[in-house]
Amino acid sequence: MTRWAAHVVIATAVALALIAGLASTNFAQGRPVTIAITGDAETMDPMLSAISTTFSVQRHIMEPLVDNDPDARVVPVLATSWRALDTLTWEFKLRPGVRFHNGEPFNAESVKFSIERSRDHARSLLKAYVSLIKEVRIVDDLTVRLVTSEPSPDLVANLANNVYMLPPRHAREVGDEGLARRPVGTGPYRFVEWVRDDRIVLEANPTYWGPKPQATRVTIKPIPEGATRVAALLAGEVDVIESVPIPDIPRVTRSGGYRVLRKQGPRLIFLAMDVHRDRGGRHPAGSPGLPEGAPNPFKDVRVRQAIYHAVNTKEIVEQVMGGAATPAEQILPPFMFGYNPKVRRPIYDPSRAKRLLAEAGYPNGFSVRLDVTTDRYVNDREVGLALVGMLKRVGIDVTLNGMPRLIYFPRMRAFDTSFQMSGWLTLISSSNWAALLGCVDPKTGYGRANYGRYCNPELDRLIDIMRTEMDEKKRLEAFHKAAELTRQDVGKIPLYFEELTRGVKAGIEMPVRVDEYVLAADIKFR
Amino acid sequence: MTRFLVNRLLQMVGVFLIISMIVFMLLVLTGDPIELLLPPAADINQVEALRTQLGLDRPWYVQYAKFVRSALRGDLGTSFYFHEPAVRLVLQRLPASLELVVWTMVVSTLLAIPLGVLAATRCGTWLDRGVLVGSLVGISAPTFWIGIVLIAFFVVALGWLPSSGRGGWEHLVLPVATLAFYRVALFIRLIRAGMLDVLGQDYIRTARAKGLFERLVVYRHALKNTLIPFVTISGLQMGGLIAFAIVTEKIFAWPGMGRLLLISIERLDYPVVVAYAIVTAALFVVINLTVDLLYALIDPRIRYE
Repeated sequence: MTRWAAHVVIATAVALALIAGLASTNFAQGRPVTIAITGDAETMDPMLSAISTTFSVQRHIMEPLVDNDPDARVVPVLATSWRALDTLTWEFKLRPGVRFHNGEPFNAESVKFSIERSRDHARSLLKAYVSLIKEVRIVDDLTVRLVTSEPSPDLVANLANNVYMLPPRHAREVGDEGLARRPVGTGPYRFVEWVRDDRIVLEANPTYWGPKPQATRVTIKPIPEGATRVAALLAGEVDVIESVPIPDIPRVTRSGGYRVLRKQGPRLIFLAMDVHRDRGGRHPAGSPGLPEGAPNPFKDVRVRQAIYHAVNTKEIVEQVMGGAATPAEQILPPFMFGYNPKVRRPIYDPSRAKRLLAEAGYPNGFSVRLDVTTDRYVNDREVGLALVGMLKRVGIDVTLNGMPRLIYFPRMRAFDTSFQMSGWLTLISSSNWAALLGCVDPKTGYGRANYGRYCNPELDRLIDIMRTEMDEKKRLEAFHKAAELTRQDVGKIPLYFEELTRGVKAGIEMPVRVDEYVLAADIKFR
Repeated sequence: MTRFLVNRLLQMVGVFLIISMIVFMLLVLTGDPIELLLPPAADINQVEALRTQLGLDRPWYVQYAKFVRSALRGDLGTSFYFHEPAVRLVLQRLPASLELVVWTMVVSTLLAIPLGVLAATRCGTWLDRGVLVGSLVGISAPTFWIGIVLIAFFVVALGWLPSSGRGGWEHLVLPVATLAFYRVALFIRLIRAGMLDVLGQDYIRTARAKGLFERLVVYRHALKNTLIPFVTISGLQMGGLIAFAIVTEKIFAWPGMGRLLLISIERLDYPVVVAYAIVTAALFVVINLTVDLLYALIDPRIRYE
C-alpha cells in the first residue's frame, strides 16, 4: 500500500466509523404514538401562554369547561350543560366524579380558582377571554354561576378557548414554578417527561372520565423545519405530523402508506386599504404608499369595488396556493356562527373593474405600494406577486413591498401603510368583526387588526349587538347585516382561507381540528 | 501573565456592555412582541395595557437603563414567553450546542489534517486537484441544502439514521456531517497552503538531508509549524459554530442555543436575545483566550508578559 493510500484510508475510516453499526439499528416506532409538531411549548402553565402549539400540548393533560369540536361548535367537556339565567349571569353544571391526576376532585372550587387565575394573575395572557367575568359564584359543589359586567353572549365561546381547569390545592402548593414544569389536569393523558425542545412524553390516564384514548403512550416532538417533519414521517419515525408544506403534499400522498388530511381552516387572508387619510405623503400625516400629494383613491367605494372585481381568487388558490386554500365569500368561514349564506364575493371581472375605476376618476389607474409579509402566511410573498399582476391588468400600478413579520406588524399597528395583505384568525365570530372592521377606538377596544382604519358607525352598532345581544336571533341578524354591509362598502377584501394539513401514517384516522391542535386522544387506529 | 488575564476580563465587561446595548437598541427599534404574545381576541386596550406593564412603551434607552440596573444585581431579565430567567434558558441549551460543536471540530480536524497534508505533499498531482475541487464544493454548498440532501438520502431513502432530535450517536451523525462539510473544506485548504509554505523552507531540506523518515519530516517538522493559523481559524470557527449553528439546529430539530435564538428573534423575546448575545460573547472571549494561550504552547517565541 502506498503512503497516500494510507492517508485516504485514515480519512475515510473516520467518516465510516461514524456510520458503522448504525444500519442495524431500527428507528421505526409503531405504537406508542409519536406526533411531530411545529414548535415546543414554552411553559406548561396554561395561563401564561397564548400560542397554539403550546395549547395543543397542554390540551392533552388539561381540559376546559367547554371546547370547540373539530368544526368549531362549542361542546361540553368538564361542564355538562350551561344556560343564561339572565343577561348577566351564566350557570354551568359541572361533570360529577372527575378527579385531577393528583387525586384532587374537580369541582366548583377548581372552576373559581382557574377562572380567577386567568383573570387576575399579573402575567396571564388569557385576560381577553375572561375580563368580562365580574364574579365566580359557587352555588354548590357542581354548580357555578359566572356574573359578567355586561351582557356577554360569547362568554361560553370565550371559555372554549383554552381556559383550562387547574387543581387549586396543588397549584397553591407548587406555585407558578411548579405549574410551569409539572402540569396536573383532568385530561386523557398524564404528564411523564419533558425534555426542552426535544420531546414531551405522556401516558394515558387510567382513571379518565371520558372515552379511553387508543394511543396509550404519546411522544410529542417539536420539529420546526417542514422538510424534516415530512422526512421523519416518511422514514417511519413519527406517526402524525402537523402542517405539511404545500410543495411536499404530492410527495407524501404518492409515497403510499401515508396520507395528507386537509381541511378548510378559519384563518382569513385579506386585503385592506387606507380609507382614513386624504392624500399620499409621508407617514403619519400622509398615506405612505401613495405618491406625495396624490388624492387617496381608496376613499372612493368604487375603487375598492374595482379591486374586489380585479382579484381572481380562484386563480390564486389554484396557481399559487397549490389548491391548499378556499376562496373567501366573506370574513367568516361557512362553519362559524354568523356566516351569511346569501353573501357571495363579487365575480372576477377586470373590465367591470376598469369601468368602476373610470367612473371614480381613475381611467388610467393609479400607483400604490402593497405591503405584505414574507414569512408569516403560507406563500404570502408569492400571493403578493400574483396580486401585482392582476391589478396591473386593470391599470393599477402596484409596487410590492415584502417585509418580515417583525417589521411588518409594528408598522401596521402604527397605520404606516396604504394597502396591505394580512391574515386574521379567532374562533369567536364577534371578535373577528370587532378586530377587523370595528372603528379603531379605545372606548370600544375595537379595531385591533383594522390597519386601514375603516370606520362605519352603522357597522359599529352592529358589532355592539354581536357582542352584547343575548337574543340569538337578533344577534344572528346583526351578523348577516354586517356581512351585507361590508360586501357593499368593501371595508376589507377577503381573499381566501388557508387550509390546515396533517400528514399521517396509513391506518391512522383523526379529525383536522379548526383550532389547529393535534391531539393524540383524537387518534383512531384502523 | 496575571495582568494579561485581568486585562482580558476588564475587556470582557466592556464587550458585554457594548453588545447588549447594540442588541437592545436594534430589537426595540424593530418592534415589540405584543402582537404575538397576546391572543387575537385581546382588544386594543389590552394590547396597550400589556405594553405598559412590560415597559415596552418606553424609549429604548430607558428600557436599556432598566436592563443594566437589574443586570448589575445579577438579573438579566425574564423571557416574555417562557417566564423564566433568560440566562437559564440559554445555559440549559448550551450542552446540546457544545456537543454538536465539539464533535464537528473533532471530525473536521481528523479528516482535514491527513487530507490537507496529502494534498500538500502530492502538490500538483490529480490527487491534489481532486482534494481541492472537493473542498471547493464543501465551501460553496449552502448548509441548508446539505442538511436536506443528507436527510433525503440517509433518512428517507436508506433509513439508516434518524431525521432529527438529540440522543445517541446516530442522532449526531447528520448534523455533525452537515456542519463539518464546510469546516473540512476550509481546514484542508488552510493546512495545504501552510504546508506548502513550510515544506519549501531550509530546515525541512536539512531534516530530509539528515535522512529522517519522510513521515517524521512531514508531521513533526512541517505540520507543527503550520498549526498557528490553523488554531486561530479553528478558534473562530468554534465560536461561530456555538453561536450560529442556527440553520443546522433548526433542520435537525437539535435542542441547542441556535434554535432558541431563532425563535426568540422571530418573536422578539428581547431578554433571551440579549442574554444569548452576552453568553455568546463570553464564549468568544474564553475561546480567544484559549487560542492565545495555545499560541504560547505551540510557538515558544510567543510570551504574554
